[in-house]
Amino acid sequence: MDETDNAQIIGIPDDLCRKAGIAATWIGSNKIGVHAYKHVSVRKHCEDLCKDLAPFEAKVHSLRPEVILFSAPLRKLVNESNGVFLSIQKMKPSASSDTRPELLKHSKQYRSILRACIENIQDVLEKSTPDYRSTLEQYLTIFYNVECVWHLTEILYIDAIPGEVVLPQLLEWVRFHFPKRELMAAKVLTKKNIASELGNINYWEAIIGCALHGKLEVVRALLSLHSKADHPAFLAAENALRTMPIYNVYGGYSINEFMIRWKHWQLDLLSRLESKTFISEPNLEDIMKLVAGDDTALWDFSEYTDAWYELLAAKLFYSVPCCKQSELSRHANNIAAKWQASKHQDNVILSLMDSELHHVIKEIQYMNDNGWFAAHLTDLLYHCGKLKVIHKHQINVTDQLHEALLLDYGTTLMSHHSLWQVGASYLEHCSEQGLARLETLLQTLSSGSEAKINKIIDIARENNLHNVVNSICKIQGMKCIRQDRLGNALTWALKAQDGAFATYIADQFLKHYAEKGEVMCLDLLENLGNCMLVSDRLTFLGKYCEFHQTYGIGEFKGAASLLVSLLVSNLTPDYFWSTLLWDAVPLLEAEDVILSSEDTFELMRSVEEHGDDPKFQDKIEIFRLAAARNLARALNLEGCQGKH
Amino acid sequence: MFEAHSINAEHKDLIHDIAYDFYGQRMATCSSDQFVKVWDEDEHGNWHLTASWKVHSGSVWKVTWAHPEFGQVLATCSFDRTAAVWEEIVGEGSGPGERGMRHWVRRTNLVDSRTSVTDVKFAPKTLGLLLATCSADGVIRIYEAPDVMNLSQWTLQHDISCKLPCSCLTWNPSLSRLHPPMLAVGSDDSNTSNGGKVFIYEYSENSRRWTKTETLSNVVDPVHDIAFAPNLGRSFHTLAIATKDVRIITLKPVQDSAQSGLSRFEITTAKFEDHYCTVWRVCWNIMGTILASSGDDGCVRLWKDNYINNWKCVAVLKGDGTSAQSTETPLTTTPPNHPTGVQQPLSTTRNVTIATVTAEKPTAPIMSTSKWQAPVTKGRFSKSVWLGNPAEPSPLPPPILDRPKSKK
Repeated sequence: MDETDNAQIIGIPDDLCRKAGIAATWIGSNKIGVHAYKHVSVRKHCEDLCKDLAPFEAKVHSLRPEVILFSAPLRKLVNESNGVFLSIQKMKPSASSDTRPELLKHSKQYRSILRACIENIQDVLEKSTPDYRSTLEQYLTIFYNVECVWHLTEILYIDAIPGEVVLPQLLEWVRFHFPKRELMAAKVLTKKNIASELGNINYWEAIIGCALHGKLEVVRALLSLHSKADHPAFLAAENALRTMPIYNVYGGYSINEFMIRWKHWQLDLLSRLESKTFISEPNLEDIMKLVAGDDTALWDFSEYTDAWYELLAAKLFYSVPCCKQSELSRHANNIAAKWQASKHQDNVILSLMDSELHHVIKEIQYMNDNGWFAAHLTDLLYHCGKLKVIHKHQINVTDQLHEALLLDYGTTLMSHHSLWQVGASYLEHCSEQGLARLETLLQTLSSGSEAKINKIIDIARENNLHNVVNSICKIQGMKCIRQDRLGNALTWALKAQDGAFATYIADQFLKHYAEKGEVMCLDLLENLGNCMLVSDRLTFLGKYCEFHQTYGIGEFKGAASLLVSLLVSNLTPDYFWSTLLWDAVPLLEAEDVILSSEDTFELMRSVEEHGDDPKFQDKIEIFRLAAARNLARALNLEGCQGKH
Repeated sequence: MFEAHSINAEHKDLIHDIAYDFYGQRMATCSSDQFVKVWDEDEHGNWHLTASWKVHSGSVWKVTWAHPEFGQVLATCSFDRTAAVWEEIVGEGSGPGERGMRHWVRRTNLVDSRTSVTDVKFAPKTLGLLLATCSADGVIRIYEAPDVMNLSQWTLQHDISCKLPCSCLTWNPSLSRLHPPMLAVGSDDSNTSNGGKVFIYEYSENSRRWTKTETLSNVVDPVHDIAFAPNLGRSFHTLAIATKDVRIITLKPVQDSAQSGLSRFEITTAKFEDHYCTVWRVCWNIMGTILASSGDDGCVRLWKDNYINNWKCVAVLKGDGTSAQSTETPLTTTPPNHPTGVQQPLSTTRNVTIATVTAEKPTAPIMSTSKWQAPVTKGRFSKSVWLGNPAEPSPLPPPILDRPKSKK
């Protein structure tokens, strides 16, 4: 496989860039920032150098390729084809049942989406402003070509051709894509004038066009409108055209039987030509020569065709009506060579007929459709099992090729602010590198609205990219912390189930309380539920808030037991002991005995162990006194209760 | 065709480096004018200058962003022998307009180098908040902020002498835990007899030291820039080198090399001489699929690999002062006497459409008997990955058969 493609040159309209040279830095996956750049050695300063360039404006140009798929008329194509793509991926490769009919259905869906897209562009085109017009016309050209190639691929590779006789489908394809002269014929026919050749300048052109497409009924109908339709030459022509055998797999004849009948008919026509039956009507004679399979006549009519494959269809129809798919390549090459076909589209179609799918796929990457065609067609052929690409070292690289095209297409879509989810669905189906790319791209997308970020997190979760979820939540959380929105930060930490981060945030809450004596975001903290289990510190914080809540509504007993359980839990951070112990004092001093003797012992043990905080030194005596008094009351009470 | 936004960066001297943040929505530029400027992109794709301040007392060579998990953090390095770490903070002042104001503060000044600091790069985030610098005296220094919530504390963890003057360094961004932290350094020492100019260092968890595990002995010319490609699940590392040509080197770790004493890597080199002269900079896109190289020929070349890892040049960017196809409007939007040093939000964004100028080689003459006049396709469309072959004329499509429209 030789790589002869040329790189395109892009000029940056900046004089300084021209004089100094340029450097480029990537922005994400497909944007690039360009600025004037001159290498300056570290060891000498650049003053003298810069003098040459003055006066200058240091500009930065950010470039991105224009992606036509992002334009409004093509959005539907992108979204709808994505649906077909995904349903193909869902098909189970089962050995028993043939997936071919199913894939043919999908291929037709793709084509109908394409057709709808082309029609939509035409609708828009009619209402558009002149400068937008040329853009739309180019879209039309691109997608028309795409459709044409797709249609032929479907005929040759996806559809099962009965008896391998390819001509009927080929004719249908040519007729579908070159309808100009058939429209012409229809116009002549609708007038129903006798002597049409006098009233319509393109009468003969219409006949020739239809004859080249094998539309014999139309040819006959047109001929019957000629002013001399009842002359012997026309009657003979009518007879020949009427009796021409057309091959049909279901026609009841074998190919051999058909060939005998057809040869017989052809000989008959040739003898008529030789006996100068049509000599009085030169136009008619040329047409009959074509019908009899005369090569010179065929090439004389080449001016009435727009592409070599139109001529190929005529050639096959009148000379090799039972051409099998395997013989197609030889005929196609002959015609194309003589035509001197050299356009891109020509090469693609020739490669298709040559069964060189690898070459086809290489070529269709240059259709300027941003990879839509290459990705979808390759994927379809891949699922058909038709694709087998062998690298020069005899390594099968089909999977790599298939994946590379999907990756490129998916990545392109991921760069759009609203099509990125569609893009992600392609990457999800690339088994080798898809997830790694998704991982990178999802993270770089995760700025903007919270709704978008949540969507990204969902997709990351679906693909088990937990580190993406963690990283995104961490970034958002950090942003919130820097804006002093601890509550929001905690929500992000919980979303990621990030224990370490939750611990850090819980610490901030507790420290804030320890210093200022107020709890921030009480409503959030009181409703943590199971979430608090993500980190010990958060559990402590949650329980501590619950203690305050219980205390606040006057449930002193409940509050006291919560407090004691916090003391014995071993979750208390060092800086918080003094706060926690001080919270016990009102409970100790309450009118009723709330804390039992055992609880009080626990409190006294804690104060001995943790009461050495300098902030607590002035309070420790008060605490001890309160504890002692409560202990006395509690023991008294418990003693009395024990007696009963 | 490319869509372009051009901004006047208003630096009073050459821009040495630009860096985009993780999302591609913020841009930092640095220049010989000793300033760094930060630009933010709005939702319409326009760039606005949001900060501009003097960062050093010498040319600023490089500027780089930390991962956003660490906040909005920049690092710079300069001819003035220092590197610095900057953090953007949201103001807490109570005065009118002060709350919510953002500004950049210097968190640390790294003054260990005795010569110009030539490159500065943050490590991949999995290693924590680590910063590597290299300098003209041939020392690589690795600093760490042990508490990521407090960026004013940085400790010098390692200094590694590599004997030759260092010009550039790059961390291996691979997040895989299967290989130790790795960085590569290039030297612009011009004496080819000094041997290889690219060194690979790896960190050993056991000895807690960075050791040189590989010298690329086939790169003997001065190296000006170096960049590891993002790895994205590949089993090998890809390193781009800017020297007298563009090199793309793959390093495939060899199993059990410690015992055998052989090289740690199986190394393959791809060499591209398209610039025909010295290459100054190399840069990967975030997926490591396209490399941009800048050469002394005034061109930036874009290199893309295909599905069988063949690299080829897919586009060339080039300064063009007289582009007839550009629809450029004058770019000065700020008054010429705009006072410098005063921070005020301004947008100097202009939309410029940059057309493809020519194909590098003339395309094959179109031989066709077709009577259709091809529409002008002058590179209108190119494949988004810049693989376009835009000079291809195509016939106009025929009218749609199914829905004939009556013409009025």
